[in-house]
Amino acid sequence: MCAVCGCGEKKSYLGKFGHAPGMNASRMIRIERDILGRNDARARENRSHLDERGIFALNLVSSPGSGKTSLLVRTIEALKERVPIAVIEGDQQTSNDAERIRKTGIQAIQINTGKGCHLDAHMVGDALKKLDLMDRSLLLIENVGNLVCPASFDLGEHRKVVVLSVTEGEDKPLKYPDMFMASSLMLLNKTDLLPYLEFDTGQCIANALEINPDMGVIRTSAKNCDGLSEWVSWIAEKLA
Amino acid sequence: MHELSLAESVLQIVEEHVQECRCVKAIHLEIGEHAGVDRDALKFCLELVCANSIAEGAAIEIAEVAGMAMRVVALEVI
Repeated sequence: MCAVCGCGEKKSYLGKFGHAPGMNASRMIRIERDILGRNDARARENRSHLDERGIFALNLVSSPGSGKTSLLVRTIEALKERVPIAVIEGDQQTSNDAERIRKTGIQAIQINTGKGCHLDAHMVGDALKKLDLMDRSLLLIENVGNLVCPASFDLGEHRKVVVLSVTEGEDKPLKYPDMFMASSLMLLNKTDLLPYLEFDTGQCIANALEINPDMGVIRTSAKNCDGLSEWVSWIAEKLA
Repeated sequence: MHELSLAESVLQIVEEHVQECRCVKAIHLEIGEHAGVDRDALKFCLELVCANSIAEGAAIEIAEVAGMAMRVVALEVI
């Protein structure tokens, strides 16, 4: 029987729209289903798998070219003696980023999304199976460079961290509010370039906090390591 | 940017609820203002993916709500 219309027989429709006589008054059925329900279910599976093993996972999001990979390399160098680390790299094409990470001696896996504009929970779940993760370790996920779509997709991480570089303009949080709403921390990166730019740091941070007052902010530079110890301490606190 | 894959997820949800009948007249969605979804693009993609499906020709009604939610709230069926 048709579960919705209750129209009785297996071959229950007559032509394209018509049902049996008497059944064609339209009616509303409420279904209340999340469009990303399948992604979110897989994300919950990923998270509980990570939790069982004491693995803390961060999802790093930003526009392309904000310096995520350079910052990750610095972060790994600062933390790898204290905690086992693994990295999942997301890009549309190439394995350049994973290769850069592997040079630090850390396990890294590259996901190529092809035409996709974001990582999703299924891609990350499959990558988790391929990685040889250690208990009580740190998992860093570098999302596809894109300030829009990755905000919507829970991967099973514990926190989203948005990286914004000072070359991008202080109004980015206002232009792309979804990503800043979804993130727990903003890393304001490439601060070594500030002397060469007309970038209003105070205004940028005010814009970000207007969107998300609960978000932390750390100013960083992968070039001269400014703010790196504060960022590393932020991670270490979560690992404790 | 990923409206096409969202549209495919919507159709999948519709098909789970309406299996045998070609009777979906309208699909009612709620999309959060911070969901990162362009409503016109989603509507366009839904019209594409619904062609030759149980929801062919269905009206797409999208209500904007607060937050990041993306939900199929109701189906209008005959």
